[in-house]
Amino acid sequence: MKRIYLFFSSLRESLLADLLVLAVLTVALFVFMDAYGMYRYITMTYDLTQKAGLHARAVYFCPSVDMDNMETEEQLRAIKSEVEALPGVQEVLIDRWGTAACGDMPVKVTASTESLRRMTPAPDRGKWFEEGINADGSVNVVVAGKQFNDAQIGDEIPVQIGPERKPYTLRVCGVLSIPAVVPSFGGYGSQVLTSTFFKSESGLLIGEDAFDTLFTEDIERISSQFFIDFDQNASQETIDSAQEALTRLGGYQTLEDILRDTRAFNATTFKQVMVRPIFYVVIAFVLLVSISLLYVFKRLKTFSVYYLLGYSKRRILADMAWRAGLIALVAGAVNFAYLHVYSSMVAAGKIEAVVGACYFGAEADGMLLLLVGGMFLLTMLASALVLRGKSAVVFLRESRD
Amino acid sequence: MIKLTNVNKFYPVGKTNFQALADIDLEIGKGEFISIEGESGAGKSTLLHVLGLLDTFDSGEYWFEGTDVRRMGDAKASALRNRRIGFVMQDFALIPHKTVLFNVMLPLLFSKTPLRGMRKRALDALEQVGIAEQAGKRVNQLSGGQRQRVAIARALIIEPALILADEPTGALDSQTSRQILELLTKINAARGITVVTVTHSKLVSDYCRRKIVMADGRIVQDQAAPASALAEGI
Repeated sequence: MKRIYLFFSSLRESLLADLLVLAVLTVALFVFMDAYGMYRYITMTYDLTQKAGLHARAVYFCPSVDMDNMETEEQLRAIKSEVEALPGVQEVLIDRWGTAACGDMPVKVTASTESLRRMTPAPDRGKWFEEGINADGSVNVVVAGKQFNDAQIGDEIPVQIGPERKPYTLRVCGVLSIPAVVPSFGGYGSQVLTSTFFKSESGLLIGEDAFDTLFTEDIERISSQFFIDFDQNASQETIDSAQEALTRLGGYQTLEDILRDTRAFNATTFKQVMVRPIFYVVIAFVLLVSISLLYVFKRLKTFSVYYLLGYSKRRILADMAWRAGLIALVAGAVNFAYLHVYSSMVAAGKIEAVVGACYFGAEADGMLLLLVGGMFLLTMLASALVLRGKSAVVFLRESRD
Repeated sequence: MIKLTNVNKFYPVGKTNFQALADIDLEIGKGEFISIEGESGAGKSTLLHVLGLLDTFDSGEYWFEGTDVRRMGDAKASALRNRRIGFVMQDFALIPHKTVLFNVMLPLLFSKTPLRGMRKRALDALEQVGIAEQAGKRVNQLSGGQRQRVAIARALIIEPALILADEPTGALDSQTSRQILELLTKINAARGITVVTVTHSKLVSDYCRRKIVMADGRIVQDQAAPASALAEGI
């Protein structure tokens, strides 16, 4: 009680300065975390692609088909079958989806293989399915995006599929909240980056076996491009031969080249997106440390009186720690609320996003903790160095000068 | 009550060590009123700081009310200082922008004393030094004499065994100085609180019953002061 009384008594003396530091620190952290979220959204696709565990010489393939042709889908399937038969090819990762009726609303239902799940962020709630279809015939589903953000684990979603509107029950085992980034192989260009393979969308993700049960080929769609993964044990010559065959069927870029180009792009993006926020945070750091040091020097006389009356140096340092800690804590709490409360409200569709697409995962919490903790420690270190350098007698003597 | 045995203290000065205290042997009993005198640089303030547990020493022993303080860390020394030693300094050592009452309560705020009753104790202490009516004023609104009374009240509130005064009248005119010295004498006589004061002033010295003279870090004279008309007149 007395320590609290003393603490707030001293806080009143530097209230304006503390509020200024708090405001600057909070805004600097906000700008930084926001930019970090945007940067993470961009780099996340790189991380997810790496997590897929594809062979180093895997390729992203674009078949040569006439996209205006009515038989495009058939041509794509034919090329896919031909590719799957090539020696050395272990797996073809392709987007497969269909449309189901969920009440009056159409909803996209996507087949999720094990490889594709490795390229998808873990559900924000619940988990991926182990079995595609349960013993009772219900289908396990991970729901994604704004349309399903209020879904609870265990909820049942009735859908109708196909021209006969055959009914099925989907049981929610996981929820992917906004931005609900999922693999999507719908783009190709002269320079392919990992962001090409992902899209933020709303829909239902079910196992491949379940998808094959619910959708026949005539009501299923596939993507125009796909990943081709090679057997890890295949020889160089086998892979070279397969890649040469691919050049006859379309165009491709190797995963190695894609990752390299993405790294270069991310580095440029970092400079564009992060440099200024980092500068702001550094400024906030410097301001916090400077004002804390000013606070120490201004209160040197008070500290010397305190010491005279039996307040130990350790307690003086603890009081300074409380002050620095409180400022850092409040600034951190405001930003923590932004990361979680704001994100949840955007994910739930309760408010529109006021900034660009951001991704705040556990790393964002860790980054915030690192920044807040670093600021606190740096402030304490600077203040403690000033005090430790002085013996009590020097304290008293200097306070009189 | 206090016993120093063969106490030495050195300060590093450049590449050498300056001896601030040399072979100090000193015993101070309860209820004494002592002046420590000497030229500048004699070691008076250093001795006062050692007595007040504000500074450490390099060799020797220091026993305070039966406790060996030599091995005490800063936290324990601060706690002992808070409970048993009051200070009256030349520059008053008060927090000028805070109220008189806050300044007097400060030692209790640092102690284990419960918050309840603190205000009353502070007002009682101010009553004893004759300025209870100034309790609500800020210190920087008071005269020099009033500020020194506040400092004395702050020293008294912890019911100390020892009051250490460093040039307590250095910033005061002669009339105010006498008032302060009479107050300290009264406290010493009525409550048996030991008072040790560092001074250059003969006026202060005349109020003390024991005079210690220092030179070059040593005690060169330690004797009962001759009875003076001033001291006996109190």
